[in-house]
Amino acid sequence: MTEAIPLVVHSLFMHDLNGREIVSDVSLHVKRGEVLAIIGESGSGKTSVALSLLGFARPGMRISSGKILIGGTDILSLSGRQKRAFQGGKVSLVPQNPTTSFSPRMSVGKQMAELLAAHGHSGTGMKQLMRDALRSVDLPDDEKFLRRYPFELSGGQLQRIAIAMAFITSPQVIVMDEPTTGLDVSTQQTILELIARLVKSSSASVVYVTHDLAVVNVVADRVAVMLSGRIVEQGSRKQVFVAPNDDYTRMLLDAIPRLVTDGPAAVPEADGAKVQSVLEVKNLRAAHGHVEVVHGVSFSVGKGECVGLVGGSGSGKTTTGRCVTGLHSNASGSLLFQGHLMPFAVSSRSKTDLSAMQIVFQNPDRSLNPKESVAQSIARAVRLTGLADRAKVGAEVRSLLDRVRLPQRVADLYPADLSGGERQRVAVARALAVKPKLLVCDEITSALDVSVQAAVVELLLDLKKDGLAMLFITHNLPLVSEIAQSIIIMKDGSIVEAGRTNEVLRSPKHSYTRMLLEAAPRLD
Amino acid sequence: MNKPLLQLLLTRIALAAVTLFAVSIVVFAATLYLPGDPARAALGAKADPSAVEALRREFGMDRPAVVQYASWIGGALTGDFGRSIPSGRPVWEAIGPRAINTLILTVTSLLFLIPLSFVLGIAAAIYKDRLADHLISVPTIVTVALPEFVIGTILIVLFAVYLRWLPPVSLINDSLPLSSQSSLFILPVLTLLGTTLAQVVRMVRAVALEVLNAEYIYMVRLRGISPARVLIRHVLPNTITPTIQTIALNAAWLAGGVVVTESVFQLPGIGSALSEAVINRDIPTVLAITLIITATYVLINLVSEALILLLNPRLRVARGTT
Repeated sequence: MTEAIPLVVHSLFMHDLNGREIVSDVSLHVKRGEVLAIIGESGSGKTSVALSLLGFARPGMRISSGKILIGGTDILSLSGRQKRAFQGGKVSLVPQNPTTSFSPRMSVGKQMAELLAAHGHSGTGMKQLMRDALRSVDLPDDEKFLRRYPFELSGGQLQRIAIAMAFITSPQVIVMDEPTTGLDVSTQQTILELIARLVKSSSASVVYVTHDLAVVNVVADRVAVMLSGRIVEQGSRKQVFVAPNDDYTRMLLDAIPRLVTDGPAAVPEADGAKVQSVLEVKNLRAAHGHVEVVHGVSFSVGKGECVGLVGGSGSGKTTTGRCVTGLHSNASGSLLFQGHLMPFAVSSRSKTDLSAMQIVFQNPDRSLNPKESVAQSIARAVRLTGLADRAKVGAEVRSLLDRVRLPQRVADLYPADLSGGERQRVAVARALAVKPKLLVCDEITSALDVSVQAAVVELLLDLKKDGLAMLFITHNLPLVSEIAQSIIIMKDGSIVEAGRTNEVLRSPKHSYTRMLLEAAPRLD
Repeated sequence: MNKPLLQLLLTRIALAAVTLFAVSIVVFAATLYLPGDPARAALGAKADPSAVEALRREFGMDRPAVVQYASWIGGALTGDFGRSIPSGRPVWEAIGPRAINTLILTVTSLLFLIPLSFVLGIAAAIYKDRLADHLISVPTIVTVALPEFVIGTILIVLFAVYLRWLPPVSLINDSLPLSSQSSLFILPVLTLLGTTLAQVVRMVRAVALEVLNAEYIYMVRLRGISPARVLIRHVLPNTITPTIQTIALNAAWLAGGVVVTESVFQLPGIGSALSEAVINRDIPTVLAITLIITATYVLINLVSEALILLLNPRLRVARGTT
């Protein structure tokens, strides 16, 4: 063979130290200049496969058998110096989280130079390579920039450098492990575009690992779907997306929220009569220190209504939500809750007001006490309603678990025993325990896998039917189109557009809304 | 050097000066109100009251406390700690050579302690839960649990009595050059190392473990950087800063804690000088030694804080923004 396929993985098996199979019989190949996307949910083994391509297994895991041929050489058969010549030289990695992937006490220029020096570059040629690489990712290429330390740069800038470093040695294989997941939404888009551009002009074989199917559409030529350590389906992007053969792939595709911009409104609208308003926000202004970040925002949420508050990072949407819930009191304007004026500081709100309004946070890992069982967590909230009888509290906990569709057996489990989606449902159950009238959801699905995300959304739709009012804060436009009747688009601390969801999405008036709509990834 | 860093350093230095000043007042006041008259102690219980009075006048002990303090601190700032009461010789003349002995003892201990604890701590972290880790961790933990007089005695029994390699006591002869007597320092240094090493090694091991498992270390490795370079350029720098405080604590402990070790080996150092001076009610000497030990403490802390500030790139490069 004159030209070997740059990357061939042959029957790869990986086990953890307890002998559990993490990756089972994975085989794949990527041709020159081709992009293979490996998609799967958390725990599917996709990252383990990605890292194994560099001949590496995370601690607690080992590569048990199989071959990984990079340009015809099995990287698993190499050791020491030979293997290091491949790592960073013939196969490179773009990490998931740029801010934790750079050595904190070394300037970024030195880290780039270190990589090049390790792969045989030196002198002016090296300097030139560094400059070209930085320019190719739209970063300044002067000495001053190279002297910067990682903490002086933003996540987006660091990821650009990481990408530049992955391409700089002209490797045969480039592995990208969820390269946009650790970034904020507005940066994600530009980094994704950058990757798509570089990949197109490069002859390297690229493996792109992600849980975000919409991203795949932008970059991938072929797709491999992983489930519990196995590849369940592999094919061209078009085939996998349009005519999936596997049930799991179909389920994944169905679970993706789709932007509903035409046809009948996905969300049944309240019938004519003006709904009773639960929350009315008038001219809300909020500041961090002396810097105003929300400039006079007004909106209202009715009974059984879900209002979507949409915007990129820095739009003021989260601060707005925190003002409403009393977590941010450096604010002015008025909050009318169930017909009466409510103070901003959570400490001066009445007990009834406090329990009538609940918030669910983005990351359930951080909002649940890891030392409390599910039942204890929820019971503590139940007892706040004045219920003291053990049996009655227990019954209430059970009915709450039912309501969020968690099996009764999770009651005695701890957050660490649950999946992300289960944890988020526990957080919702705990919020519901005090019988709130308004639920503020702050990016509550962002940390979840798509299939789990879909289940949480379904749960929220049920709760809405029961008359719960919701303020749904998110950056995810398609998600909002599935759940919210009305939508508020925020940018730089102000509302740029508001109205019925289907109307706003069908005929956006503001250029920013149009930009968001275009940026929303979709599957063809 | 940039402005915020300079400001931080100046603040630390000013604080150190205030601390020293406060300590000097407290120590001086304590000696004034201690039971026992130094003059009577020097002349004996049956001395003539007029002779005692004369001695008190000679040493200025009849003046008001504030005046005494002012003249003492004024002298101390210029290196004049007054005269020893029993001998009448300048304090510094008596304790100077002993201070040098102690300085050699502690500095030598530190010079071994710091590199040794980094090598052992990082090695233990790399070979976590394997033989090398146990070989490093078990002995260091055992020695930290033993008081220094036990370690000293064991070392004397082993090296002086049994193996006869080294002398059991470290009686340094002032009239001979110190370089010819360096073997006298070996056992005391080993004793001090035994009591301090474990704490620093444990700290280095804990920090190094965290660093070794950090994502950036994996990333550096996956760029094909050699293991030696990963250790020296990435693991080590990120392990040093969090451990400086622990090293400083141990260094400060060494400055005052040599007393026991010195007495075990009868090494004429500042610690044994202090206990002799206390027994003799030699107040000027007690004051001088206390002040020196305190100053060392404060200085070590100052140096460690300055190091932490200087090693922090965030402060080093603060570019105009706050």
